[in-house]
Amino acid sequence: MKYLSNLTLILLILAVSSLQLNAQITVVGEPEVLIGGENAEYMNPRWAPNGEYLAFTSARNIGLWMVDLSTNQTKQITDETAGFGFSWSNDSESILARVSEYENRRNKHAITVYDVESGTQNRITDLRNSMPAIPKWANADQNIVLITDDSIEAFESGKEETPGAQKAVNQRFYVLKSGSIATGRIPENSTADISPFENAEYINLELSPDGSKLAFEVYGGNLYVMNIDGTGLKDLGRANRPRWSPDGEYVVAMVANDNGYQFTESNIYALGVENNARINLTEGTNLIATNPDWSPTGDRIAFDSPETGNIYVLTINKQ
Amino acid sequence: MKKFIALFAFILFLSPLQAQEVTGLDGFSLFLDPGHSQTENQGLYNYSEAQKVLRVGLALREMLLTQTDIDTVYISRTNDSQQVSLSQRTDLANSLAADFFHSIHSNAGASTTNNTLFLHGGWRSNGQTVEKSPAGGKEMGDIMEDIHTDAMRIPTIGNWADRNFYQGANVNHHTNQWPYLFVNRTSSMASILSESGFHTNPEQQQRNLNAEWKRLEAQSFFWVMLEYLGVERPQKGIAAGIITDYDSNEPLNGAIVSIGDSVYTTDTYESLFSNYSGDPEALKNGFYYLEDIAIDSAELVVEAEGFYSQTISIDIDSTDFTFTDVALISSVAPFVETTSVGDDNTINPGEDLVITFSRAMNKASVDSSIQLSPEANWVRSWNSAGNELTITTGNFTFESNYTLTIDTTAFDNSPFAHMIDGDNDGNEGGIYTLSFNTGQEDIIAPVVSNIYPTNTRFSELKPIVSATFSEQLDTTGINSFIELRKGTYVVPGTIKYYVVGEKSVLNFFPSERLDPSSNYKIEISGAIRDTVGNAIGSNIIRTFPTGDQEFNSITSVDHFENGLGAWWQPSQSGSTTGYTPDETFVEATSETVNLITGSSSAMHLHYGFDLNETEHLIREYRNVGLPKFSNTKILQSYVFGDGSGNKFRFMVRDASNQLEGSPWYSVDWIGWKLVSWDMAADSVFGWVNGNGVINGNAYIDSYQLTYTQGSPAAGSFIFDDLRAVNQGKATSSELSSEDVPTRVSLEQNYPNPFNPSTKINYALPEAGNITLVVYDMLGREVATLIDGYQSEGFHSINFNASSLSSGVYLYRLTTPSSSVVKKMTLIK
Repeated sequence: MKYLSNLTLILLILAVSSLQLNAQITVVGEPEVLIGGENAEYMNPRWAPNGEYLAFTSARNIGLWMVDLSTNQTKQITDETAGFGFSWSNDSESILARVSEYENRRNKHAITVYDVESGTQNRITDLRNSMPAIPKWANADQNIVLITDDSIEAFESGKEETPGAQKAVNQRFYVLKSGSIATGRIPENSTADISPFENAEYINLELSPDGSKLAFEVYGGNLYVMNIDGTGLKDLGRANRPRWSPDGEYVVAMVANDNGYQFTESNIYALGVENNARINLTEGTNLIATNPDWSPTGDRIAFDSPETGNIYVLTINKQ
Repeated sequence: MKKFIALFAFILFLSPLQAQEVTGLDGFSLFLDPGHSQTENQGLYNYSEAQKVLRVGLALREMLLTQTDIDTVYISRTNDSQQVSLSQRTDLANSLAADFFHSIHSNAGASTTNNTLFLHGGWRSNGQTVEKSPAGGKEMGDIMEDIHTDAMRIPTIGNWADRNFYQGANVNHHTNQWPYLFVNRTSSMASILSESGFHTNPEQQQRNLNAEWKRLEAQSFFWVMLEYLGVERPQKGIAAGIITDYDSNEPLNGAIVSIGDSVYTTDTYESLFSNYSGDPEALKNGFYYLEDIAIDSAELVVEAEGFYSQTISIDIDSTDFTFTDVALISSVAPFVETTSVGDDNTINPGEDLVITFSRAMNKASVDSSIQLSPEANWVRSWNSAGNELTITTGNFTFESNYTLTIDTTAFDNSPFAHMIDGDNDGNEGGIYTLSFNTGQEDIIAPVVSNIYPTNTRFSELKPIVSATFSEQLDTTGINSFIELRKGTYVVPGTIKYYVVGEKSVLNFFPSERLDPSSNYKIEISGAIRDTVGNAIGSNIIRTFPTGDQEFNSITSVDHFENGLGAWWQPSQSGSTTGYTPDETFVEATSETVNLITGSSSAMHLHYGFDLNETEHLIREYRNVGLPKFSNTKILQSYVFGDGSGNKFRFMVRDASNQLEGSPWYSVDWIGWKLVSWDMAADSVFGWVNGNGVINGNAYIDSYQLTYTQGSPAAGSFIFDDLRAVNQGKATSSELSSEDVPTRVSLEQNYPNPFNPSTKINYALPEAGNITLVVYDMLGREVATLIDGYQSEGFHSINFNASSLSSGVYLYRLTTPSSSVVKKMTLIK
């Protein structure tokens, strides 16, 4: 393997294993390159909910790609600037993104839904001069919401109703609104601020798979989790880009140091939501490991590395 | 459960209350990113890059919001307390979908370096430089290079595609086809990173302390943004410049600059600099900045106490800075500030006598007014500034008394032609008189010391041979000065000569590995002589054994061949304390390098300790957390010492993120030496959050320096080839017959007499249990140096007698077959 010497691997396994008595998470083997190659410049991997696909973008958030994990076939979904904050639909058939086009030194933006199978795209909005928010799926993906300081907008996603989806209509959505954590329902033309701290701003809000908890970063501060009703606030320490484990027991995130220009080091950590586990999953590698995402099957974590441009997969054993 | 967190809103929208003078920015949103956080990247005078660039960013945001119709200006930090990571900055900018990302920085480097630099996202692809998309960063950088550099009035090193800058512009095709810098790589919009001068440059940093200087930088970025968007500048009259002392060319504190009713007083110790220094004379910038001046012809009036005032007619530019620098002339008479005559009032014939005046003098008037008694032939020369006169003394008589006078006809070079204040009473007039003695003739040959290697614990099979001399040498015939031999075989290599202070050192770099477990001889030529011809006399021979171990599994941490990009300036670390900023800096050097590894570049760390402080620490921090190495390794660095006795140590960060350090190493050598820290066997000292144990893999955090009481306050160390190694059995370790001594021998200790330590070499023809014991002259045992099994071969041991009193001692080597005794003398 290119990345670890055998000795380093043994040390890695020993180091991680020594932490597993409480955490019960074991790293199996070394990180493997899932997507790479001479011209790789990929980042921000996101598993499809069915666990069969992994989507990712490239540097500058340009383009979207998808790899079919059963065949290892990769295809490009779009070459547009659509890679920041994209999200899968629950049926793993669509990706929601905010697409940007540059014109006269200004960005214009539109909400777009891509059909990953056919590659077709559905422009939900026209290009706008300003769109200072990330669109989110709502109501079992039948709607898309765009919440800004000035407006609350809901759009039909164009996705057909699926069995069981009807009962999810009017379910709450959780979004960032001008730096606050907000919740609302589509028929209501208002949102409620459920931010836990006054005078703080928030980024990278993530709803847990069962819909009961939120993970988020305080801008200029730590990573936190809390229940959706605002109770149970827990400080998970310094970490960025949280993503939930499928059972909601952990958040995986990156813990990075930088010099103002580059990351000088970064590791992937599993952070216990119910316990105080803080497990470095990439200790012993010489990778600067960033932007993790936990597979729906729970046994793999994808991440990227800014030095190589590769997408890696780390196999874990969680007991 | 709401809880207060001291973070403030980071988004400000255009205030509708402000008049909008400039249109054409509608629909444009800008993300400003003052680099770093809190007080990170400390610059000189304990003022950080993070503090400075925040204020530039805030001023720029205020200008854009109040003077234009721009949609939005976001900013990544608004105060000195936020700790914002790189990922949060671009995550925020991307989520807000700004149109342009400007990361504001200042640079760090040698104290003499100061320039601007602009870095847009780009790389080399198949022979072409490619700009990241969306494009715009390059054009913004081109405009900044022009407008911002002009505003700062310093050189520029240009506007670069970032990967070309860091990884080479002559590369046909970079391996990574994306921007090098994080903010350029991960931002979805056009972007630029600007470096506005060096916060490690004293002149620049003293300007950076001034609030209006930061407005000047922001004003230029404001104009940059207008040009980028094709918008004409509004009219605005701004007069700015530097007020200096004509004589010293130094900036002037407390100068009053006025244009009509607008008045600006340059910073003073009381108004500003006392926040950054305890020395009222240390800091000066002379900077003035008058905004909103009528765009017309104007009279610029400059006044300062002790100087003649000046009035200058200027035309105020309507759309640019009007720069006017003014040098005020002192109304005080010139005088002799210093001479090179030492505290002992003696100068040695051959040394230059240097007389420094308080300002530039009329050279002819001084030349005609100067006299020496008794007379001697001399040669006079002046420096270009005209304030320093050098007199040669090669023809002066040894051990004599001389008197030099400058009469009252000498005058300065100013338009006012002030006569010299020779008697130093504060007024023109009076004869200047300097009486001094001349020293003794040098008849003493250089004294040799610190011959290396000895029988060291970490035996090196490519050791740097070193010999130190008490004075400078005549280097004619240098290649025959040192010879390294095994039997009759002469080891090839390169000899280098270095001067450190009054001493000098010869280093011999073998070009081939020595044989393990062998005996080598160093022969230092008796023909070596000082600069006036005093030769050592007879050859000096030392022997040393090589061990059967060698270093392997080498992990290079930094060979310093690619510059010092990973290393901060010492002043950038908040841990650096008790130092003198002007003397403390790091720079790459290609002049003094470790030839053992074929090095062509090394890291030269200059230090100066402030002896008024009680705590002294210089942290030379490496900001890259790679490579990691096992805690079982030996961490090594080649170190060129200055012989000061000041100390350095290694500091690593372990897998628990704790800082663990080596023992302090007293740098009592000059020239090159390999320093080794066995992390598994040697002492480990926790620092800050450390606990004295290296947990798991570690990486280098820093070299650290501290002051040793009684040592020089300033000096420099050079570091090369920082690496982590293992030590194992050397290949080809079989002992040849000539490597095994034929009889027991006990050599005379060296040095002798000694204080407090000395080295004892001995040889054993066969392995066995031996003792080496030290006795006083009454036969009482005072130390047992060896009591146990020893292999056959050549051995060496150091004896430290710091606990013994002066006197003659015996040392006895006892083997199963023989016993040998020698004397040694301890003098304290």
